[in-house]
Amino acid sequence: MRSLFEAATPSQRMTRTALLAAFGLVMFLFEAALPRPLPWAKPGLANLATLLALYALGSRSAWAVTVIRVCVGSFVLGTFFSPGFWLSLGGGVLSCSAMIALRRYAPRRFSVIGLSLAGALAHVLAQITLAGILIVRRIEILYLLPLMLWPALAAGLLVGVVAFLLLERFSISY
Amino acid sequence: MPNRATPPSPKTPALPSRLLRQLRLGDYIVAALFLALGVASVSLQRLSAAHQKATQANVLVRNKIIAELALQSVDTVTVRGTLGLVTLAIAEGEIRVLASSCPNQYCVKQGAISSPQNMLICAPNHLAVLLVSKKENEVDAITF
Repeated sequence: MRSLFEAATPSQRMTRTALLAAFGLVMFLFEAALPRPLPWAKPGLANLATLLALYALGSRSAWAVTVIRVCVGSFVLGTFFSPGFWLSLGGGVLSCSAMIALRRYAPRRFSVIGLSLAGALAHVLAQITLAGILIVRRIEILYLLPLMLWPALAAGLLVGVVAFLLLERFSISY
Repeated sequence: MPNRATPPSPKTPALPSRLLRQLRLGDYIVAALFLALGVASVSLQRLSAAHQKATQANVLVRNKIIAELALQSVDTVTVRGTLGLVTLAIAEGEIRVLASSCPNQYCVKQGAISSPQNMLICAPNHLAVLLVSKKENEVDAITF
């Protein structure tokens, strides 16, 4: 069976990238609407779209999906160019580059679970660094690290498992 | 006809075993790194002097201390962030954001904090509340 996301032509690749960007955007907005018991933790379901794009369409699509999601999402939420936007963009870009780098340079060493975890870890590190630069330039910001790391570990595992199921369902080689 | 909703065919093993078969060395390394950082950050918190009881709250806007509030008092203070006004409430050694001009209200939802391990952040206002303990006027122990 041919994969649902297997793109043969450049225009197919483009439309499928757009489809995944829209999916990521919906996940992003859905999460923004969810009540959060911990303000610094969210599931990161939008990373599913980036992972799918990376596996099915390649790293350029993964970049596009991430950047489109963060920018359009912040237009919709009204947070464009606010500190929260820079935190989202930094987290998205760093986690996306971490996942792309692992997929490119060690493709046989990582499953989608490991990639998702690496993305979650990179996201936390980018956000705490950016928060330390943009909001509170104090070493005390590191006290937030455990509050972000432990939920991110759970979220990374969850997203990894769901991504695995989706790759399996869409018969994308992994 | 098999149920098409259970991919890809009825005789595939259950999800946990399918997942475990997928796992590679790198996955374990990333997971170990994650756990190590998690444990390290928790112990950093524990080992630092931060578990002392806080006596003072420093309110920062754009990294500058704009107010130093004694935590023993019972008070509400309104400060100006970069976006608008933020009202802080102090009671019984705790401080919370009572009301904020920001759209997402995460700072209000964070609730009250009382130890220097925590901080209140209102990112849209570039505002942070750090708790500090002034050692010089602290009593080591009280005996009866």
